[in-house]
Amino acid sequence: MGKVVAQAIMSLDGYVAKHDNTIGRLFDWLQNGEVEIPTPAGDFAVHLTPSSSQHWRSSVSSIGALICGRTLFDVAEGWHDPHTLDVPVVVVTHRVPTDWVDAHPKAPCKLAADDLLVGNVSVCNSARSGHRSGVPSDALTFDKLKSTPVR
Amino acid sequence: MRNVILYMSMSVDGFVDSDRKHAGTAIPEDAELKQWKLDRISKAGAHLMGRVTYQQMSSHWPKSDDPYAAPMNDIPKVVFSKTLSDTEATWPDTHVARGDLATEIAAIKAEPGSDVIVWGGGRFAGALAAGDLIDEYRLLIQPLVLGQGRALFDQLPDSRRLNLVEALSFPSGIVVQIYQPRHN
Repeated sequence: MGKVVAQAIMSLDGYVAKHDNTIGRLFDWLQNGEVEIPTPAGDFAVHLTPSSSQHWRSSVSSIGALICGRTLFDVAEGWHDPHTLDVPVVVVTHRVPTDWVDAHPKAPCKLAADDLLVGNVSVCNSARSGHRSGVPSDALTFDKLKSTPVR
Repeated sequence: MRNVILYMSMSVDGFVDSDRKHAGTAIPEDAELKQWKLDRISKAGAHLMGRVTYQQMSSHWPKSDDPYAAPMNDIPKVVFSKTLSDTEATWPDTHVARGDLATEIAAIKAEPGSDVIVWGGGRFAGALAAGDLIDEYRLLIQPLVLGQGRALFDQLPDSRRLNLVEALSFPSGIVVQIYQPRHN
């Protein structure tokens, strides 16, 4: 059974974004080092300090799926389908983003109609990785999600 | 020019005081951390604090036999207050600073002697942080989230970049994070 880990890139005083959901300097560390690492999805490369690169590698390799809310999904514009980390993304929302799903016909997204925690769920599987071929909408529960195999 | 060093307990989410539970007293300090602090406090050139903290400390440390008592009682104190009179400042070796914060700090820094320690409280330390008058932050990050309370940095006019000097973790779960402001 996987663990649910809350991960945030946070300022010293506890902020993870500005009021308008922009991130200011919070992600600067992803591009201020000399160690170049392509993202798992290959959409760009991060440039990290040696110690940050160790953290990045162990952190990225431990992630089996990502859970986010609708605001982050909207701000990130759905990561233009495969997520940078190339893992399935579960968006917990009462408002399934059908426009986005329609606009990304190649994305093997499934919309789950059952309640997960607080509302409807859309499950987006990475097109490239094929780790998971889709979660049946009637079987998706929080425990199921935790059981997602970690690569 | 001597440095102004802030020691402050802070929750993971950046609060230094709260109605919910005080960050500084919620988590017991371990012996290793206490020794780490004692080694540094004992070398301080002066203790700086706001009036409320001064009145709490001045009624506590003179009667205490805790190892912290000697460096607190023996080292000069500076209390920042516009209302406290000299006769009310009864803790031996106290100077009441009544002037403008930046001017008073500049004068203290220009005096000979060891680096000085700022103890708070939260509003006084926050005002110093907002005025960029602190040379080094030694934040004792408690394994605790408060969710709401008095924030150390909410008086800052804008975001500020810091340089990490050191991060030390202690058996109590407290992590001491030491930062200096980056001026560029």
